[in-house]
Amino acid sequence: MKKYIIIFLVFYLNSISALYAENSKQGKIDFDWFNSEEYKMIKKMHNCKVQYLDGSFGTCNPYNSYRNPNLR
Amino acid sequence: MNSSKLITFFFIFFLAVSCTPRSLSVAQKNACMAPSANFKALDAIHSTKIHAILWAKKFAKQASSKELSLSDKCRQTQILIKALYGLRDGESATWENPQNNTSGKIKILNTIVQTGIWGYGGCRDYLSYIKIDDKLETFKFRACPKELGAFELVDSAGFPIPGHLYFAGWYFYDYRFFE
Repeated sequence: MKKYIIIFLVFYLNSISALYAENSKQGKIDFDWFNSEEYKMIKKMHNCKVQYLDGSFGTCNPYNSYRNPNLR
Repeated sequence: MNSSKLITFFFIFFLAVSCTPRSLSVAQKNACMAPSANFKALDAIHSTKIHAILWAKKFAKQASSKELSLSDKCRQTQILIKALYGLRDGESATWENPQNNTSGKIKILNTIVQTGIWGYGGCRDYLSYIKIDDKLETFKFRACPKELGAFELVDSAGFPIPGHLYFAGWYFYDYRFFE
């Protein structure tokens, strides 16, 4: 009996924690994050890639050029 | 191990594992992935790649510890991006949320200039501070603009260490491995 109660509790707590996470204040942002310059920068840089002469791909991050001072 | 201990172990393990991706996935969905703001969850996932046992302890630890709200994670991410792309070595950026009694700071330490394909060229070392209810946590990271797919760096002992995260054009590495 004890085992069944524990198993039930595990599934119950797991399911309500999911609901809590969805509905709670934790899931809301209280400032205009999505219109900020930093958010736009994240989106731009996260998906951006450049192809080098040797065929390999790199990030568009400007600090990549610190590998080669001629590119700075 | 008797059956009640086994059940208790699975109970804690199941709760710990089930809590991890949710908090992290909400932060990921909103692009609020500053490594310091999500450190315990990221570190637990990172440990699964390099430790045989330690990761279970870290999963349990992160599930029980207090973390920043999503808004504060986004604030920490905001100053991180501002610092990595816009600040010079030695400069810092901060945020504060009196409502939650939380604050954060990023300080850029140095930028590594190095020629050649391999190495740490372009990497920026920085300190990240997070304060929750007057409890201050300090993290040190190395952020590298490496070629896509080159996720591992060699640590001070010569072992390949995978990054904690690829985010916004940077690969983030826990600095403890490179000291």
